[in-house]
Amino acid sequence: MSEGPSSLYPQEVSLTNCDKEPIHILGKIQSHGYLLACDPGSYKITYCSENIDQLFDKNVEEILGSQITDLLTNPTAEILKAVDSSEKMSPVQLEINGISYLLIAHINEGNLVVELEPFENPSDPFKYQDQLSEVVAKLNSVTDEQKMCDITADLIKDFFDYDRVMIYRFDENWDGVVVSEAREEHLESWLGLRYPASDIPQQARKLFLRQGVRIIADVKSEPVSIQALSGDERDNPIDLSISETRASSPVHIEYLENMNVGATLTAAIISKGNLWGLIACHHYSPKLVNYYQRQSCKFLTQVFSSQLVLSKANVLLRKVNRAAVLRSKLLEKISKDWNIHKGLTKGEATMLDITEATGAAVMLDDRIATVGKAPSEEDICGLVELLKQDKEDWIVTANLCESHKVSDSLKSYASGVLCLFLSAAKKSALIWFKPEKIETVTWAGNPEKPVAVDENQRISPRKSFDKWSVEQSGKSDPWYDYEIAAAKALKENISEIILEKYEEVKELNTLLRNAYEDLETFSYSVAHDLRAPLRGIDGFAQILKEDYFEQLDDFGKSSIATIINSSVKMNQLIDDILEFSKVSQSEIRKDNFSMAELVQETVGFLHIEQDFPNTKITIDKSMPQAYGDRKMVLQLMQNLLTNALKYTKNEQAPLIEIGHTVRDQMDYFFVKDNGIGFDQKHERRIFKLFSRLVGDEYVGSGIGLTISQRIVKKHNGEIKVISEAGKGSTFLFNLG
Amino acid sequence: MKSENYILSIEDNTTDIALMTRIFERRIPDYAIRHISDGETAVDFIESDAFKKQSPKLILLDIKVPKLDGLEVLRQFRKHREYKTIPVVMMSSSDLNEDKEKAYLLGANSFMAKPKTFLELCETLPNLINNWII
Repeated sequence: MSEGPSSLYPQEVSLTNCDKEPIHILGKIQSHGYLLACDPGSYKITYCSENIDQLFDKNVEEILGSQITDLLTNPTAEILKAVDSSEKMSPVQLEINGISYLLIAHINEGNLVVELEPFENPSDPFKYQDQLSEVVAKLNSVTDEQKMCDITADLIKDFFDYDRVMIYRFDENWDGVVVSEAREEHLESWLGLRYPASDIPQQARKLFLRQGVRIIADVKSEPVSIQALSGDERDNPIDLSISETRASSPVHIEYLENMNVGATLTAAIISKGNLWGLIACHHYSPKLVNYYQRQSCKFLTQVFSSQLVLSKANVLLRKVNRAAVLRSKLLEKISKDWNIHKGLTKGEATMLDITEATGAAVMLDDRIATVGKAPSEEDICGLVELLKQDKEDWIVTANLCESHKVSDSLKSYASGVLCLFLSAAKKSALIWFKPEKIETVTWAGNPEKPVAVDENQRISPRKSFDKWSVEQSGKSDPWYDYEIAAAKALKENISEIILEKYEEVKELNTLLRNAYEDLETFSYSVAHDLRAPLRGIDGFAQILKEDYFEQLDDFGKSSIATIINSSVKMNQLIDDILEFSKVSQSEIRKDNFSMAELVQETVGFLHIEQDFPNTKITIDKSMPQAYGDRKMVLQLMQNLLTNALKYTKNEQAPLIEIGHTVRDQMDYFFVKDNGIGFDQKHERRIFKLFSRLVGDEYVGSGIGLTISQRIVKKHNGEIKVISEAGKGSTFLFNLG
Repeated sequence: MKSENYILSIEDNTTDIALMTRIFERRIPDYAIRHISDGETAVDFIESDAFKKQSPKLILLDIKVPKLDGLEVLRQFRKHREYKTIPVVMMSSSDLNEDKEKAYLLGANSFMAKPKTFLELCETLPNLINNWII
């Protein structure tokens, strides 16, 4: 390795050190070229390459400080005067000592840089143009990205005859993958190999973006140093950013040597101003393609780049269009029956189709519907709970296990998740899933060791390019912008539908409530109006009994008794219905009162001592105060006690206990009896209107417990019953 | 018309009329019962000479009668200061109390829900006579 100023090399080696190597001011050019630089005003030569004496009969010391216009005779000197920017002028062909050279000049950072390179096989520029237009036509004929890459690789190989031509594409981490390759048959294929970002460091990528095309004509030849006129220039090495013959960094040369590469041609593939990838050509012996050829390569690469952008845009446009069409289909479907779950997940078009996901779910009104390969409902619920914690109302990840620390069980269906919450409450969501994509990534050498450190603490690039395979897990395919946009648009549509639906439901609710109120008023007045005819039935049955009883046979007598009994029952029923609607309609007025006193009062009111002399009643005098509508609670207690009395009447020793207890940290009053009880499974039924578990031997309309429940509900309290057939029942209640 | 002690019932329900008639026949022989089945006819009768000549001892007035409702009949009747000693018992088939206050303000002497059963009615009517006719 040549003796370079050691200060230019990083002293401490790390993965990113290479990034800092100032490769544009290394002060050397490749050995096939010659360089002169002068002040663009005075034409005084301030820099020249050490090999310049091979071209002119003067040595380096004589040339430095002299006029470039003296050195290069007319018409070349005149042409130089026309150079005024970093845009390179058309090269000038000239002959020195019987050898053809191309002279290429440009201005950069205050220097007029003049480079000469041998020009060995001048060919017909028109023939080139023909070939080029053929190439362009070929590229235009394909739209598929991979095919385009393959064609381009083949074309470049044909055109410039390098041993290996690779299309190298950068990913989001600037790791590169060989996506297409054209090579001599005897060479090993590098297709699919991945190179870590450090192999083509950031400042090299920047130069590619600026220069477009770049060659190394002979990796093994020693670069030529550039001499400067005086100390000033020596302190400011010449900037060779857009020089044609700039020498490569020793690290890069070493890297190529490790790969046994003899010469390279590299062109930048630029898509929308960003470096998309490179066309990298390797030759296993020295090879110089001339300036014109390099320009053709640059042109070809530009055509390729623009085709690439165009085709990508077209593909995207098609996908966006498809997503939009499908979205409107979905909405049309939903608007038919307002069933969002069904509309999004069933039938021909589903929410799955607007993205490239493989599974999707909609979570709405506590119900989940899925389509495609989705996790279990339980897993989805868990996932949504987790995603809720995020600040955003939409979450996208292509590596759920890593981004949200979920268990591995989810990753097969949901390594990729796109979740959009439908409202700020985050109770409902649209979710798309992409499965784990187990990918074997083949690195060109161990990516963890891109550099080695030699005994002088200098970076040296990797020595081994043996393939290195790594299995990558937990990741899904990426989510594309168009998918996210389509999902967001769908979310907006669904939110609107939900809002509409909500308004509709609200309206329906009002109607329903009105209808219910009407119904209660109606049943109240019906019950009421039944009184008069019933009085008639009862009255005339009584009259028949008074006047004609003796004339009737036994059947007639029992018929009259039945009519009278039935009307008694019906009157009871009317009483209960009226009572029920009264409870429903009356306003609640809460107060503090003593429950023990209230129970005592009820017991007295029910004439228990007279009517049920065998029944023992115990009242826990230490019951706490109650807070509620005393009149209603009195009615509640009366119902519960009447019930207890009714169902214990056939017991040997009827016992009713009234007290207070704590259950599941809740306070309850209770009324416990040792009566007939019932099977616990009927618990819900027992509170239902008109529902009765017993036969006619126990009178009742089946409204009493419904009224009791109403009263408790009006207090926002709770009532429940614990019972066992034959053992008795315990009613527990509190007043909220 | 022969001088008699009678009760005026303003009531449109024919069943109730039949039941009351029967009860008076059998259990309250000292009193007759006369029925009028709408408010307008009732007011006409109240304003008539016949009424002046032979006033009822008690008026049972159903709050819901056709043409003119019971409360209106009551209002018209109480305009007649000369009849202020005739007690009026308002009968309601509803046990809601919204009309009760109005009835008392208009000069009703009592307000009662109609008995639910015939037997209750049998007890109620004689009680009314005993309570209101001195």
